[in-house]
Amino acid sequence: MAESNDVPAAAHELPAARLAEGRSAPPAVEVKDLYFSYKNHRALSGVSFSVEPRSIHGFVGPNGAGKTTMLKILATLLKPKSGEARLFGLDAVRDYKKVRAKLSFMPDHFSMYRQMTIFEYLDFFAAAYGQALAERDRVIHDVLKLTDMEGRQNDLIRTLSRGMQQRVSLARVLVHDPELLLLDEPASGLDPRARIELMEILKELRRMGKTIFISSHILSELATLCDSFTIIDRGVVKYTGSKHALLVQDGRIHSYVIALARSHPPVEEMLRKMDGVTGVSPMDEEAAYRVTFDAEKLGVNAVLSAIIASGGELASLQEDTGQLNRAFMDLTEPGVPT
Amino acid sequence: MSLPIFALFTRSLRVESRQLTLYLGRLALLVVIGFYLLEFQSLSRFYGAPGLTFFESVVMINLVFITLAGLSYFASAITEEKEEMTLGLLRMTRLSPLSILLGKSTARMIGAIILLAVQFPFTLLAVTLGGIAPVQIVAAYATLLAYVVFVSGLALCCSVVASRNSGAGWLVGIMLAGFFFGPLLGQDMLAGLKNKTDLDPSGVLYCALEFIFKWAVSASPFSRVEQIMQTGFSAFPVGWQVVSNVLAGAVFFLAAWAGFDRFTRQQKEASPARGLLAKSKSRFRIFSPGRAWPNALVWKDFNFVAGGWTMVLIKFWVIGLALVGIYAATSHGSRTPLGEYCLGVGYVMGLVLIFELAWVASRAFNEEMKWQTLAAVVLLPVSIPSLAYRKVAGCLLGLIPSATYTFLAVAVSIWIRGELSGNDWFEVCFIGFAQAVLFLHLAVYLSLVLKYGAILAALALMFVGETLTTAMLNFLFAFLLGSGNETVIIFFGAIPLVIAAVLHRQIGRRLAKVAANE
Repeated sequence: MAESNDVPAAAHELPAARLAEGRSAPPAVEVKDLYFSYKNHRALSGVSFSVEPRSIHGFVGPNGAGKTTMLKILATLLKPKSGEARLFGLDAVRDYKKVRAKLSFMPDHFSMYRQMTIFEYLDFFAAAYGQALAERDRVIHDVLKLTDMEGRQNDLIRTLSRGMQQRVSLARVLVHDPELLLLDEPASGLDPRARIELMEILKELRRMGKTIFISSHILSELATLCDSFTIIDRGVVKYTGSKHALLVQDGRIHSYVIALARSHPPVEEMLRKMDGVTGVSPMDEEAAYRVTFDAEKLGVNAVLSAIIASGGELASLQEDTGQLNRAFMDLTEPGVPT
Repeated sequence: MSLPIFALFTRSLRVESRQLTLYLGRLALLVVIGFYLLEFQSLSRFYGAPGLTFFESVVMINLVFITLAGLSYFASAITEEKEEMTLGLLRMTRLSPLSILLGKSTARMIGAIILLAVQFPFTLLAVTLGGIAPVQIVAAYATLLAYVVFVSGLALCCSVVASRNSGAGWLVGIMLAGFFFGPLLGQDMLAGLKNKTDLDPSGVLYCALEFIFKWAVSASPFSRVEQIMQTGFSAFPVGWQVVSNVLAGAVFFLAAWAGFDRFTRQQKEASPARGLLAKSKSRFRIFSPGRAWPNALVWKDFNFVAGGWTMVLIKFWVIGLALVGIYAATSHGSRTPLGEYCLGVGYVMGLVLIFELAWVASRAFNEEMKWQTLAAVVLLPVSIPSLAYRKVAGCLLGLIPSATYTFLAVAVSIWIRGELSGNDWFEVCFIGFAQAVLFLHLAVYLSLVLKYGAILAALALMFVGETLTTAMLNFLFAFLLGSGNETVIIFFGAIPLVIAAVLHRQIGRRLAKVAANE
């Protein structure tokens, strides 16, 4: 289990790397030693982390960890009691007007004018952000195309399914072309298909150069999407850094899931005997193994070559994202925060 | 009381009995009555029967508040559960429809009755001021109690039928308007028909209609109070109004019970109403809100809260027809001079204008809070005061019909009469303006604090403030300054503007807080 006193080093890992690369652009989000309380309840205690521009950052924690509070502070809806939150180098408290122009916030509930049609809703927000009529037409067309709702612009929002309402919410946060999207549990309540489609839209947005800060209480849900994570529990940051660093145990133990096209027992036996392999465990699916190995002694290419040499027919190989869940369980405490 | 039928009812009573604010509210009411009593005592030399004047005012204020409670507090008994989509959950429990109705409505009725009960011993003191007998006080409270039962039953029935609070409120308003004005108009029209046609006054139809209208008029609590307040009243306190109101209340309750299953079986998706606005691609697109204006917030609240141009057009027709219709219906016999009529319309429409603005504006803010849409709006690139002004501006556009008729009525009155009246119009307009501004701010602020009944609470607070200020002014004029000191009047008249400025700041803070808590 990671100790909380490891956090400051990890928290400043990304800015340090940026300086090393000689870049001057400030982080999209930079939070330093931030505290926030609701009356007698401390929601955030000394939170520090940063997010690189044009990346997807997962902000993960159990229920009541302080995720929504952090998002609201970044969205300039709440003022921190102490500490600093900067977005693109701008102070979230002092420069809140400039900050608001650069971001969009999607809360965890469907707060929409349900009596409006999709077009009216988007037209209202586009006009409220000062866009001229011709520009509005173009922007609304673009966001409807991105969210695959072109044919439904005249539908009343109250008649839409939950998944469709979520798309409208996403379209709304995009109308003024923000640089940073703050999304609070965007996939909650969606069916698997809607989740996958949402994730695809987010990937497309990253390709378009947006920075996405996404909160969730399910780490594995974000595993394939995010470039970096912050794990928070009871208001305290337990981990912040790249996804890769979280997947690699103790800095050198890598974990992969290897699936063979058909069962071939010699492969398992060979892997167990291989120098540097620290563990081989069969998975629920037939001919699939979770293999952990010491990265200092062994590379993933060597493991692959050995499997093929022993007659195994490889079907797939991927980083073990289930490791994220185990890391999450290790980093967070059981029980409900009081 | 452990029967399932009373489970929700006893729970509601227990919850209410633990609410400190309710006790404080009752205490505040007593304080106001105490001040009112003192004021009348200090001015007893100016009144022939101060006890009667004092008590009549108390009863009329109670009647107005019971009516307003019917439009909001009682009318939301079932619709609030519908809006929160919790009625289905209640119905899935062992609670029967009767149990739900008792729990949601009867508990509220008892709350209102307790408010009347706490006043009773204090208003008996009016007897010591002179001009009123105990029997009149008992009869007046019997009238009020019966009216509470009637309004509560009617509002419950409307709440079962309607799907939203606003719909239930409108339904109660229409029914009460019919109850109060229908028989009066009917009597007037009947008299007009008798004068202008060959209708036989001794015929069965005429006699039947005359009888019905007469009994319907005397079922009104306002008519009954008028009777009770006449000098020498000594009739039995329980009259036709009491019997008819209690019976009607019971019938409405039974109707609500009978229709409960039919009107609440289907759970409807809770969402704000679109009203009569058409979609831009429909056949009736002329009634659609069209494209958002550059001032998008004004566009949104004008169309989706005030009803847009469609509602403006409807209001122009409805108010216009009503004003012409009332003038025409009352034009038989001793015709009211047009100038007097227009002056009356000007006063009434002016009041309607203030109430309408407060109602629409409080709805505009309350709906944002209720549907949790403030976070997105607060993040728009406008300051919070500007956001609030734009919302109110959108609501103001919806008041074009009322404002036009007010202006026309006052203009015609001045044109015909040559002058408005002998009052000092600067003072009256200044004080009226200051109070309207305060009322608007109070209604908007309370709409961001209370889930329902912001207007009612704002009116109650205005009344308390008004009573205290008037008591203080009367005391000052009677004992210290002498009458007609204009500086003091202007000073006291400006107090509402100061309070409105404080509320203005608080509204901004409250908006930011509500947005952050969503």
